[in-house]
Amino acid sequence: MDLVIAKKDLLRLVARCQGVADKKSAMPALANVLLSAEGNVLRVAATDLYLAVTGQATAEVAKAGSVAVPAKDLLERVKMMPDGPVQIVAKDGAQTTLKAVGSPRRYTIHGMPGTDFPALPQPSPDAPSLELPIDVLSTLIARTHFSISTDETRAHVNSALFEWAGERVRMVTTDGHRLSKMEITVGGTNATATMLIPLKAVNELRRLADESRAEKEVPAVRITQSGPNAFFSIAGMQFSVKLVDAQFPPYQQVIPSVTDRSVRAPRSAFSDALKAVALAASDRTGGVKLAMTAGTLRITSESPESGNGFDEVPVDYAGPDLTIGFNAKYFLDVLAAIDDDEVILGISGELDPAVLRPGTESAEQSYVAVVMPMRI
Amino acid sequence: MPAEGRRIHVLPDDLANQIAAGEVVERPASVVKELVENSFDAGARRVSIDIETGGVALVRVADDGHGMAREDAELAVLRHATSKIASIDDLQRIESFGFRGEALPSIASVSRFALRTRRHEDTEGTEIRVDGGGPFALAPAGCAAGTTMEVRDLFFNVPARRKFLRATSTESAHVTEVAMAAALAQPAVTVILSRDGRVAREWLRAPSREERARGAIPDEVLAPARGERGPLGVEAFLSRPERARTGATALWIFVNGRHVRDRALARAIAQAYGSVLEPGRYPVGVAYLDLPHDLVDVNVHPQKAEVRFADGRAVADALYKIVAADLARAFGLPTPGGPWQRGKMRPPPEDEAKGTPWTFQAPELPASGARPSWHSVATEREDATGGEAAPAARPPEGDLAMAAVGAALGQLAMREVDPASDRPPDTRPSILPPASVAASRAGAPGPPAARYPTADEIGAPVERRVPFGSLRYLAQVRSTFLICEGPDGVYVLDQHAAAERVTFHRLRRGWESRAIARQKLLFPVVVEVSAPEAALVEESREAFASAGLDVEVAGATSIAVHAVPHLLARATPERLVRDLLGELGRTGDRAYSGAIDRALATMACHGSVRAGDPVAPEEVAALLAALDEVDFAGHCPHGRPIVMRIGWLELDQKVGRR
Ligand SMILES: Nc1ncnc2c1ncn2[C@@H]1O[C@H](COP(=O)(O)OP(=O)(O)OP(=O)(O)O)[C@@H](O)[C@H]1O
Ligand SMILES: [Mg+2]
Repeated sequence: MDLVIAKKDLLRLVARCQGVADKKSAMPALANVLLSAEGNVLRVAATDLYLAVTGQATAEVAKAGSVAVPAKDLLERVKMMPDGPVQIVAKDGAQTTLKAVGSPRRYTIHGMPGTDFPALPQPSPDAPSLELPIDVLSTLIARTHFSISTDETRAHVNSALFEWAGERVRMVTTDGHRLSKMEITVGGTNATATMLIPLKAVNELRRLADESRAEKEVPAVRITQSGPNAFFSIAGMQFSVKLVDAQFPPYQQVIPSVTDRSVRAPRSAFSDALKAVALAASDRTGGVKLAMTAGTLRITSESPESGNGFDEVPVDYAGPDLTIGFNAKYFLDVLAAIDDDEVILGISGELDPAVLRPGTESAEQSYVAVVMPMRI
Repeated sequence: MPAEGRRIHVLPDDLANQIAAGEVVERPASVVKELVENSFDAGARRVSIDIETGGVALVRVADDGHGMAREDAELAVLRHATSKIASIDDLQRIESFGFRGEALPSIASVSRFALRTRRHEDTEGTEIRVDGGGPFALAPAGCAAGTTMEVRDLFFNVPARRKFLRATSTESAHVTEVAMAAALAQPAVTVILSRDGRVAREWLRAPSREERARGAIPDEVLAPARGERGPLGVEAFLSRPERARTGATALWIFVNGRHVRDRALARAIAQAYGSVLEPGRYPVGVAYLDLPHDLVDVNVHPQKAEVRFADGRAVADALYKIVAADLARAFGLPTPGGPWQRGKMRPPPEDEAKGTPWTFQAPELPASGARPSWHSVATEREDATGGEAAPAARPPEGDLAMAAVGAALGQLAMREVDPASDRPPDTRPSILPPASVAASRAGAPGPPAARYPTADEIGAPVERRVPFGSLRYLAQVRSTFLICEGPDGVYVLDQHAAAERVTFHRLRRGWESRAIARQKLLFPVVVEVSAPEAALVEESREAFASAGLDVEVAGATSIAVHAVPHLLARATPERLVRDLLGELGRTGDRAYSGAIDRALATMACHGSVRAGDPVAPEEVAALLAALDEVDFAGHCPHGRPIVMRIGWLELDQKVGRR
């Protein structure tokens, strides 16, 4: 393998791949990134066997071939290269030389033959695929990722449900105590898809989407479902993930369609008050009580060892008094994920789920978070 | 017919037997106990126990003992027929297990009972059958030498009692416990327990108590402790402190070969571990106490599960001293006389002779209500060093500082004693030889003549001295240990053990104030259980709720969990339900709070940060601060040490700076 590529392109590819490379794996190959040159492109790939990421950039390829080199070592060395073209040469024994064109700076790295690297999943050519604006994917994830269960033993909730029905895309997540659901209409599309994307992949997708949004590169992400895998193509990077094969809980049943009372509260004041009061909650459980009376929402915490906390927020509420306990963190996550000035808190009784919605709803977007109460 | 006006009449035999049975026979396990003890009394070398359906359908005990002649066999099923004692005098020195002549008639009155027996010298055996009391049927029978007793359909004629029997697994567990106790009591007898036709446990004849104990408890490394004080001889084989359990269920105590449940004795043994065992925790192991028969009354409990000593406190105290001395040596525990005097419970006689102030051997157990805590350490330290300020302000080296710490720990090394429960044994030495009277009097409070600690000793598990909250967190290593810097050395904490300890403490506090915060679940979690377990859930909804679990029976063999303790949100609801079911099922409802305690400990374990979990620095800070709240003895609820300190002195010495 012998090629020349711009440092900036190489750096971007290697940096994105090394996040997926698995340094701790028992399979040493997984700590590597795969470099393969063909035609006029260099492809860089990494995998931990659940996730795989591949990216490509144009290069002057003098001799095609492939080699796998330690991800971290490569990244560090590429960073040290002066800006401009970089030459990569791999000998048969996988000895790889990285050289700055027009400068004496060079490194040799001991790699392994590219053929030793695990084969990466490929979508079958006839697999259905859809395109989604990157902003939409980003919003779906931002509003729901925090309520994914972190319990790896429960795969069906250690993942996000991604659904596409007609023009509507939806992401739903739950950890068993709370749930969030974001829906967006994507005009002019018509597709049907359901997949459970594991938490680790959601985090990686989020990073990719945010990065490419920041660079304002490509406005869309292409999603392909093929066999047990899903493939996401964003800004020249292809990202594949083994989907979770399990049944997501019947979420529709637990989202109350109406609640007996509804409180309209200023989002940031509510959030600040919750944060302040939760600080004093017992055993750092975050357990707080919300007491609603006409026009006011009182937030209290009590703890045998750290004393009490209290604050109140003026709200739009006219119903009877009610007090109900919650884990403040569950509310705070939601309040941080939405950007409306106001939120609507719907509550029926002290043992019933609470519903949080943004103060304004549109036909294009709908968001709802459900939080189960805590008996304190 | 009673005459006119007469109200009091003698009960018919059957009724009298059934009433007696109410006391002697509580459940299949009590039948097993009585029958096996009879076999032991008959000089058996081998006893097989067979049970079906937890012993409710069948208990069969077969032995190769001396058997009975036909006339004796007839008598055996009569009330107060015994071959074992004949007079009041005999009752004063009972060496056999049986003495009342009550067991067989009682059992026979509440079951379908059959006995087959043949003496070695007889050619023909005898079979006797009794159905729920009633008249017995006798027939000659061909059988092996020895005796076989069969008890079928226990309580078939006493529905009220049958109702109180628990799940098969629970009854089975009780039988196993009785068999284990029997095996430990008689090392020279082979005991085989079969359940529903399959051998469940087998204890082969062993040459000594020690070998029997080790064979019966193969999972533990048992340290021997032996000694005599006055008339009391003790032979004990006990686990390391980190293997201790909540409750004394795995601590087997025998008095003159009789298994007893005696809280005072169990506590004396636990106290011998000093501060490394938290109150309420007991080691795993076996302790044999032997003393002259006339100093123990065995006739105080219908199931002979208790004995009364002529002087209970003296026995407990002597037991404590014997065990403490050997344990300190075996485990390198801080001895009650000060943490640095390892393996030196008693001064060498020369020292005494020379009048050296070797004052600090085995002091009295602390008075009720003594509550060691960090604060008391601080005060002690201040006193001992002339009121110096916060520990952090003092240079960590020097004899003086160490002596002061030693003094403080000397006060602390004893466990807290629950003021509400039985008082600890005191040192009134009625059984003790006069020498030890003097010794214990000399053990007045005061700083010990602490010798300079060796580096090795400083590395021992740390007593609580510096507030955890004041430690500076440095790093997590191997995703398991938290490394912190303190004023007196480097601290290494086991993150899981520490988190578990804190969770347990909070859960228990929550449980005591009936205020465990419960997080409701969006989707009720359905857990498959057995039918008796479902019944148990139904019965103990309260218990579940008090432990923070809202459960409902969802079907004959399934239950639905609607809320879990907030503190344990990391654990799966199913896990928690099983933890609690396991503990409740085992005890019935007797030692209810003990079961809850154990369940909370297990739940805390399943709901806490584990080894391998990454932790954020803020979490560590919170954990350290929380550890200070905990009534802390340096061990997790399962008894594993949580923290270890490497003193500066030791570090210096290791790298050759000193
Ligand atoms: N397995 C056996 N082998 C030989 N004799 C036995 C056996 N079991 C019982 N016996 C005889 O039957 C008598 C009655 O037994 P039982 O258990 O009712 O009374 P006990 O053992 O004398 O007193 P206790 O009621 O305290 O157990 C015994 O004294 C003994 O002589
Ligand atoms: Mg008997």
